[in-house]
Amino acid sequence: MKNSQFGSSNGRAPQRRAVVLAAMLALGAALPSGHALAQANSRNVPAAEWAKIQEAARKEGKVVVYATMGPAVHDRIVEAFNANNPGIKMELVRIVGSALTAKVEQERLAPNVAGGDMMLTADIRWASDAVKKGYLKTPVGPAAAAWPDAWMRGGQVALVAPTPWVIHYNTNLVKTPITGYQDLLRPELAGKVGGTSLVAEVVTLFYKWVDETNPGFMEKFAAQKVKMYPSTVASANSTASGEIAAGIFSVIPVDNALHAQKAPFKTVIPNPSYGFAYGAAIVSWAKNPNAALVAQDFIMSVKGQAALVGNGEAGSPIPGVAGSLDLSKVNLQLIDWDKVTPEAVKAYETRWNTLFGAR
Amino acid sequence: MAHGDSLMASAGSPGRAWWGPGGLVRREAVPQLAWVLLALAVGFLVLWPVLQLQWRAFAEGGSAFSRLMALPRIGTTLTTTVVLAVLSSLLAVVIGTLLAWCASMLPQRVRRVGELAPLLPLVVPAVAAVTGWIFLLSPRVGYLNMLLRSLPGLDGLEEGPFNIYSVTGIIIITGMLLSSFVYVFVFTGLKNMGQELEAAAAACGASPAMRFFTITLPLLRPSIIFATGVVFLLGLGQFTAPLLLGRTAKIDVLTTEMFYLTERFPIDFGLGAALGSPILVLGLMVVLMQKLALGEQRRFVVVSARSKYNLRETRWWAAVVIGLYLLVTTVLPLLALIYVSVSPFWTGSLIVPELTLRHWSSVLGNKGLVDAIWTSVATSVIGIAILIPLGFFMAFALLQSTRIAKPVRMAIDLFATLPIAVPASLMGFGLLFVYSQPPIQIYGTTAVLVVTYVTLMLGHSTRLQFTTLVATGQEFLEASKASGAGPMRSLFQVLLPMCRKGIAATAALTFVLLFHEFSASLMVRSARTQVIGSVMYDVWAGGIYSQVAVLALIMVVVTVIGVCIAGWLGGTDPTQQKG
Repeated sequence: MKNSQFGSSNGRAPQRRAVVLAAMLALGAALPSGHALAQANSRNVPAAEWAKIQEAARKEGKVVVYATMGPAVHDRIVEAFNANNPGIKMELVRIVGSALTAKVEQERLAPNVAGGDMMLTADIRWASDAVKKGYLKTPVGPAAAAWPDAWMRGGQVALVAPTPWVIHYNTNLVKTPITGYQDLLRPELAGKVGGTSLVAEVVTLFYKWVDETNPGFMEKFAAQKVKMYPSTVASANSTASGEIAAGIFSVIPVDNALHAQKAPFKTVIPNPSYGFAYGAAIVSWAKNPNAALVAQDFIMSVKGQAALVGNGEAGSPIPGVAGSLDLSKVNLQLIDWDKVTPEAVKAYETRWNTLFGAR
Repeated sequence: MAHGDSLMASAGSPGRAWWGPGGLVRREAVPQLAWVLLALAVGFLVLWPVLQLQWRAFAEGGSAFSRLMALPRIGTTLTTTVVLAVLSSLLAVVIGTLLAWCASMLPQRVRRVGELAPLLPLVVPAVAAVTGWIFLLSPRVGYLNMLLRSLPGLDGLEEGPFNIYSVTGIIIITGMLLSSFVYVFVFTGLKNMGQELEAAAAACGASPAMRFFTITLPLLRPSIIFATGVVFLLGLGQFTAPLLLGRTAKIDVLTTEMFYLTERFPIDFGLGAALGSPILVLGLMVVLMQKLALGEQRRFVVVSARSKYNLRETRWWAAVVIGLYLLVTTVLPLLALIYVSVSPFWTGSLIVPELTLRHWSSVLGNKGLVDAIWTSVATSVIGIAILIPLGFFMAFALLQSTRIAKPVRMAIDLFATLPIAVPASLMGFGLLFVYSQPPIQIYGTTAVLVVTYVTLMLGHSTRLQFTTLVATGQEFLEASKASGAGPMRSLFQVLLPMCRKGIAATAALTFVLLFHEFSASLMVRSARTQVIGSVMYDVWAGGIYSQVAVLALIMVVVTVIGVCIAGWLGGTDPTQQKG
């Protein structure tokens, strides 16, 4: 844990570790960084061909990325990419929640639009479907070739920046530290807690997980008259401002931006915690396909990963990334996308709407 | 009849052929054809999205309406939409009429400034004003609420006393935003109204209040009815305040539900159309009722001489009322925006430890945001360049009672009315539908924004220039033609110079409306083709409130510059021309 402003759930020891995560991390750690694996998958291209792609990318001159992370992460990615890839300029557009995939789909149907070339989305189910439908391109390049297969979906979506969802609270308003979800049910927090509305599928899955792992919690939480915000950043800023005293749903990068501004604000990683990874993917209709390949490869490289993880904001599937969050020390369970079905999501949305009111 | 006679005479005259100079086709059919083409073009712009959308709503046996009824809390959403429209327009009418009355009683020294003051809220975009109000009246950390809580009797409160995230909050904010529109109509009526009856009542000992309620108000009925219709339509399609204020408190209206549909794929256009149907029907009913109640619009363009003497008593408290209105609607939100824009983050404290320009440099250094500002300016200017001539010719057509075939005139009248009756958000949803698929697939380009703006503002451009043309009169044009000038020469050397100020006023108002346009822009924008209003929403949804404040202030500054330029081009203060 790199940041002192994070609280920890210092009660009981971790009761369980996510088997999937452990397996993934083990895979990641054990990966050879060299040529052997690179030759074993379709993401490997000969050096001469990669040079041609890079040259074509420079001719294209830019790459348009749609991303849904926090502004600070975006700034780091753009800065790092532009510094490491002279001749190619990254234009990053932030789109919150499911609006990202809605825009991408609209652009698919309007081929004349010069839209996004690649995306960093939290909607992995959409991305997985997109692989099956042939909407995406396989990333290639040296970093893509070395990327652990366990952190790929359908061979085309790279899972990056795994991170837990966190709780945060305003230290001026909450004097007794919050250590877990149950603390959000304190009577003095009634009407002063916030959440994020169901702006993306991952948000629905988060509430579903909390509901299932904390029986009876969600009904009591809804009774706290929760204020719902359209994004995690909005919720975090409202907590920092004191509009609400605490928020159930945030991510470390978003909170870190407020820590940097010395907001009276504390972040807590619950124990156990639930989390997700973003999916990096290139659309098959990209107007700058070569620049997109270069950008995707950069995201999958050590330097790109360093930009993504910042100062302990997320983990990395590859070793040697400075500043990455040590996920083995966090009792984190990542979303198992193989078990996510549209029916289950829809059913939980209905339950959530009943508890909290539509939207 | 005269038209028919002329046709017959032309056809029967020796040497007057069907073709060639002076022939029937060139003299009669070609000009008619031009007007028909104009009607077809604007008809396509306006009707195409509305009809396509409604067709979609009723397709597949009207299944969209079944989905509509299955939406969670649809009953509440419908009720909120109607309650919001009715109460906010009522509030706007009360405030706007009160302001007009106060403006008519301003002392001479402050009259010029005082009469303009109620129009100043129009310079602040709704999205900026609402944001400013969030900073002021957020229950716990709104600056105004915090100040009020320091007063005796309120110091025990933990939050409030006001909660902007409520239906009441939305009604009050919307009502105040709409009151400037009411003021424009009512004050114009008041200015052009004779004061003899009021003077007589005063001589009989009636107090100012009694004179207002028994003389002034009944005489202003046509202006108030018209203004009520206009603000009810705006209230019905209200989008900005419910979107920004309602989301946290889970308050939805039909337009916000439509917007949320655009954020999910596949977009359910049928459901969106079904959501828009009640608004469309109500909007058309209001316009129809207005037409029936007020009859021929020309009757209400007052061109008669005003009362020679200004007999109305002056009152300093009238200036105080207007000053308070300006303080509440404009000054306080702007101060809140300025304060938040230089604070490190929006904090629940009236004193921040340090002020910073970080957010200003962040916005001005962000290519996407700066591009959006320029796109707003460019699309507004291009929109105006198309709207002014288009609206001018449509207005001109409406005035030609004999030269243009009645069906064509009626069609043009309808096409100038529809964009006013259909809320911008609904029109935007329809435009997204028709322009994101063949045969005209311009979604994702700047062109779709221009087309959207032209479609939305066609009615305003036509109506405003119609007023100018009526006030100008036909006599000079007739004299020009009688002196041998052709239609083009008469147009460019007589009519246009005479209408210059009115056109500039129209351009200025159109610029304000386009640059502030939020509802439709949010519907048709793509990820990379954005205007300032839509990126501001994104930044707001993204939670970076200080950057929202910066963008709101930029909107205000650019608006003021645009209005000044248009006023300078017209050679007069454009706001004087609005009536």
